[in-house]
This record gives sequence, structure tokens and C-alpha cells, in this order.
Amino acid sequence: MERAQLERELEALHTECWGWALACVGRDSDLAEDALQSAYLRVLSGRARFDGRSTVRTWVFGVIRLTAIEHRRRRGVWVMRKAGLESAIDLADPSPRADAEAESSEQSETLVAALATLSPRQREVLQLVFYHGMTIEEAARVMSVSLGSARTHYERGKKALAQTLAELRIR
Amino acid sequence: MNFSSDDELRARFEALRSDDSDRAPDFHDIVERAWTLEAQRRRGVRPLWIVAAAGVVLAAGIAFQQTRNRGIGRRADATDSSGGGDTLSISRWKSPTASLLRTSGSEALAAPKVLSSILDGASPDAVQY
Repeated sequence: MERAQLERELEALHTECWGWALACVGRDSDLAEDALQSAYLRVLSGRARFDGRSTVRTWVFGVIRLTAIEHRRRRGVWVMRKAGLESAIDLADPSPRADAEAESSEQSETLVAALATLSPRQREVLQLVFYHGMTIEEAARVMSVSLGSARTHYERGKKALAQTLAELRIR
Repeated sequence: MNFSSDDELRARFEALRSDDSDRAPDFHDIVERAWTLEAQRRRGVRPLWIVAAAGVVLAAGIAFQQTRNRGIGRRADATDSSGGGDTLSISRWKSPTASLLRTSGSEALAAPKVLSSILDGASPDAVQY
């Protein structure tokens, strides 16, 4: 695929990519921007190649996911060096940032808080299905897991999310 | 609220999506920054490679020089011990005809060594006489 064509595809997907990047880095806007920047560079420079086995969106989401994991890991190491292991554990299981919470609507806030209690895989599959409107099969491709595994994460995640949201509403 | 309905969950995600899209950075800004960073990274990497390559060349040069010096030293030692060859050290050089100058009793004429005695090397029996 030509670079100009890839750029057009990325531009069309940009808002979705942003949402996905945010989800991948625990909703840290700065980290999401860094990850997105690196992921776009990989795509446009040809370091990540589209082999046509999936849709462009699925492929780009996969690139963003892997890049975000690298960025989080790097940031995790940095945090660990700076503030000790405790901060790194916090980062591995991210919770929404204070400024992001202030900007979000109450409904979004509750959802983000509830999503933070799920496992990363459960969070990913629910984000891909409910936020991005993907099928579980497409989500499995993005997450590089089997369809069966994605389904399990989806079912368990949905159940846990419903329970947490109900608990948050009671409080 | 009962979350048996996926639609309800979808509505919550839709609200989050709407909030996120309001905060999305400009696509062109991100791409431009990505290329700028890439260019800076490449410029930074090049001098690093040059320094690394210069270091390797220097280390190789030093290693080569040391090996060469060691080789010359070894060759000199070999020629010294065999007593022939062109590269003899001055301190070890002896005239080829030096033995002709040695006559009987020449030791007695030689200057005594510092901190030595004329009795050095004499047997106890010889000293008694």
C-alpha cells in the first residue's frame, strides 16, 4: 500500500485510533499520544507491513496495541526506577487520571472506573466490541488471541463489568 | 440498573467515545511530530555510529600495534639467544674475537667487582693454606 493511501486510511480512522490508544495505555492522554505517534510512524515508514489478511482497521489497531504495550513497559521501567515497585504496579493496572476524570461526563467516569477493575484482556475485548463495534472475531485478531479465548474474556468481562457498574451505582 | 442488555452497555461506551473524540489530538500534528522525531532520532544515531566506528578503528589500531611490537620483541629475543642475526641489543653485544683477548691470569688483572672478595669461590682447604 502506498504511503499517501496509508495516510488517508489513518486519517479516516484517527478518532477511533485515539480511543483505542487511550484504552491501551490506561487512559493516560500523554502516553496515548506518544503511542499513537510511534504507531503511525511504524505504519507510514513501512516498519509495520499490511499483509492484507485482515482489514486495515484491524491491522492498525494491532500495531497501536503492540506499540502501546512497549510504551507502557518503558514508562513502567522509568517509574520503577524513579519511585519504586509500587508505582510500577499501579501503572500495570491503570486507573483513570484525575484530569481525565474531570473532563469526562459522569457516565463515562463510572464506566472508566468500572473498566479499570477488569483484567487487561477483558478490558480490551469489551472496548473493541462495544466502543469500536467490532465482532469478537475481529477483536481476537487485534488482540492476537484465539477466538475461543476472546469469547471467554468477553463473557467474563461483561459479567464483571455489569456487576461493578451496579455496585458503583449503589454507592 | 440491570446490565443484561448489551444496548445499555453500548450506550455507556458511546458516551465515553463521544468524550474521547472531543479530546482527540489533530491527526496532521501527530504525523508531523512523528516525522520530526524520526528525523531527530536519525540525526542523533549517525554521530553515535561515527563515534562507535572511530572507537573500533582505534582499538583495532592499538591492538595491531601491540601485536606488532610483541612480535618484534620475540624475534629480537630469538636472535639474541642464538647469538647471530642483525638485531642484537647493544648491552648484550660481544666482539666475535673477545675470547682471543682472554689470557691466563687475566682474572687477577681485572678490577674487583663491587662488594666482592678475592676469596670468593675459593674452597675452605685452599684458604687454610
